[in-house]
Amino acid sequence: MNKEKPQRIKSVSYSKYGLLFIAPFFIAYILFSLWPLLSTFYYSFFEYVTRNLKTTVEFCGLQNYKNILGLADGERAYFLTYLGNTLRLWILNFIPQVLLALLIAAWLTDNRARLRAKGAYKVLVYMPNIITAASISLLFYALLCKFGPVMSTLRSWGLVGSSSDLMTSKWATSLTISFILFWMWYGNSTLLLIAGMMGINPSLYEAADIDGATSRQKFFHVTLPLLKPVLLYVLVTSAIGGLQLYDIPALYNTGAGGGLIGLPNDTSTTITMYIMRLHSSDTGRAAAVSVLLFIITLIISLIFFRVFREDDGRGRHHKGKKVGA
Amino acid sequence: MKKFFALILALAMTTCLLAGCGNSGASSAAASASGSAAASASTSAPAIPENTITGDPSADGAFVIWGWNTDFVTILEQVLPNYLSADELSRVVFVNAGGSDYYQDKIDEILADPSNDLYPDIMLLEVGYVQKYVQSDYLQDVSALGITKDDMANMYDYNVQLGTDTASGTTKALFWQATPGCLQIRADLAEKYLGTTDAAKLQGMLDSWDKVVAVSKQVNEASGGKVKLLSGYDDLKYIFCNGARTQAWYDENDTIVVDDAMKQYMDVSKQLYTDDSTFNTNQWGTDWAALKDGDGESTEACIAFCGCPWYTYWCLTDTWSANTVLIQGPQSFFWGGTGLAATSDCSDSELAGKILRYTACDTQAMIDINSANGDFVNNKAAIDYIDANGSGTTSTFTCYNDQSIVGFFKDKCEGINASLAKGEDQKICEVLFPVAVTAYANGSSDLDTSLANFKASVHDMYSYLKVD
Repeated sequence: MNKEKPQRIKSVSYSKYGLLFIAPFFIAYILFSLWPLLSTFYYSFFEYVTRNLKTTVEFCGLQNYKNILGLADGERAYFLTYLGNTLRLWILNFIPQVLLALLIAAWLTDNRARLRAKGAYKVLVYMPNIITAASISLLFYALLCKFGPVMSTLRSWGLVGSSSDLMTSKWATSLTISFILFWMWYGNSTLLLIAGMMGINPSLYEAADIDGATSRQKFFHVTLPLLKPVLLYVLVTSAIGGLQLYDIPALYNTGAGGGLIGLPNDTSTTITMYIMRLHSSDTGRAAAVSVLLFIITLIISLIFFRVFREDDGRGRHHKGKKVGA
Repeated sequence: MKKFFALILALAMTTCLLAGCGNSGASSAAASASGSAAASASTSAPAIPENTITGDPSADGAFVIWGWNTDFVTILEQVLPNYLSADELSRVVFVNAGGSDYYQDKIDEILADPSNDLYPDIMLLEVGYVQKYVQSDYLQDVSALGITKDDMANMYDYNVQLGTDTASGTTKALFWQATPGCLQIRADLAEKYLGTTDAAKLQGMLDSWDKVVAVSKQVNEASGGKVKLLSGYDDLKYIFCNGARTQAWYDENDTIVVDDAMKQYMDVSKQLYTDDSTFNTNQWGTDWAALKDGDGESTEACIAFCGCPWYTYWCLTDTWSANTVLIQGPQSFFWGGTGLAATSDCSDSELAGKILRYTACDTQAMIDINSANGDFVNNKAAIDYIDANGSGTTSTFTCYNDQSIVGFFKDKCEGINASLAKGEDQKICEVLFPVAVTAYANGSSDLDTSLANFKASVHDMYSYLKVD
């Protein structure tokens, strides 16, 4: 009897407090995140038609999904078109971004380089992220539009023709948007990678030094493999953010009249711009787009996790073989 | 499995921010919650302006009027006190939605809720979407407010058409402005490149699209590209949309129709683009605005801008003062204009009738409106009076050689056909069709593809409109 009593009191009281402490998050999460998410699935099965202020709502099964994927008669696969645009913008920004971030992070964590004022560099690379995306977007537009300072200067130097206009070119627009993203977010990636690199045990580098490894070998054979979890985090969060890309393309080169059409010729319209275009007039289709976007995000994330885990396993397997041999 | 669930939940957290992105509350959460590396889940929509409310909407007998700028306030403060009692005026509450971009969203939301204090008794409506409301059940027939056909006899026909539901023939919205379009020619540049400042001669040079294209080319070559006739083909959209069309954007079967005039617009644009004879600007853009003040030597300039009374009075710069020749150009059209209508749940039809009458029907009141704010009013008798006695406008803008602005616009409403107006016109004309025009003009797609893309985009925005 005497033995049991204190045990019971101990276990009950602690778990109770634990639950209490995490409850606020879960309540807010269920109310403001999970519930809207589930209702989005529900709304996506209804057809909303608003004409002259009269709205009719009808259950339509998977029709919304068929429509946006272009599977229904006379419908276009806008979802796929805009997904392609979004991926193009994301990939063009992510590859250079992660390369530059790796380089800067490697420099800033290199003990032999003995860089001074590392803190100042970290602040500087993060700076672009402080300005709101909307302002940057409008700033770039003002700089690069046909009669903006950049084009005017190039024109007066005779480097471009009198009618040349970056805004009418699909690739110029895409590259500019990607550049803005790259410029805004490489600092963030750099900081994450620095954190990852500082977590690597310095004795590994010392051992590599003793073995006569070059900086390059240390980077590719010590830093990169051990940085994988952080790289994965950067990749997944970037992919999720990238798929939801909205503010910069929505303000950079869009059609007049607020239709959220990414110029030129609808080639810089992202999925989220499409959702925003639809959400007030056609809730059902906007919900269907959101759900598909969620599924795609899920798939991409799962693939990343799988790829990295397999890689891990193979590495271990390989090592084991070596030992065995 | 545990990991899998954790992943799904984490993803749900970030992705479902999208689900709630319709309201502004979710957007700040989006910005803070996803510190992702490439781009934050930045679902933050541009800020929606606050309403500015003058008066107390919760007071007994409050009479709420909705608008998106302060144009109507001038009428309310300077004209209506002569025609309404102090008691009636004190009940009027004016809600300024703070800009036209979100006006329809705001008003649509509140129309669905007649018990709301801010439910409009009268609302202001712009020509581009007035038909959406006229064809709904939310507005009252003006005859129920005591306004007869005789009261409307002095109105310009096209404005009556804009406020009338063609199917039932009932008029629901009345306009106090008339907005006939024109071409404004900059006299100093016209003298230099066209060799004349005479309105009749200029009209003769620019009365067809072939001539416009040819003159544009000639000016561009003569000036070495520093001066062009037009700023951009985008400027021409209202001329074609609001003047040249002979068919509505869709037929009685809801099939999308592209009028031959709109195809001509695409051809004209392509020709202008190919000849490099405009600056390819978009209306209201910063580069477009800058072209109004170029000197044509060190900075680029344009000879002609599209105009209409409100534009001529208020939007031309000092460069154009005493330096503007008004001509019709190749086509009569209308550009902009504001009407007002009483809602079906209007709390006081008598007061609504009075406000409509003294804003849009009564000749003397409309002369007063012109004196108060210089509006080119929608009343032929008032315009005749103003033409004979001078306008009281506070605008100091004058034309070249003192060409009479009112005298010029007086007969320019004749021949405008607004019976083709539909509720979807604004989005189609200002948002969707320009994409097709640009794509065809700059060669990124051929005519058939551009038109097919355009029709698909209309269907995508208005799913009840069909592609043939």
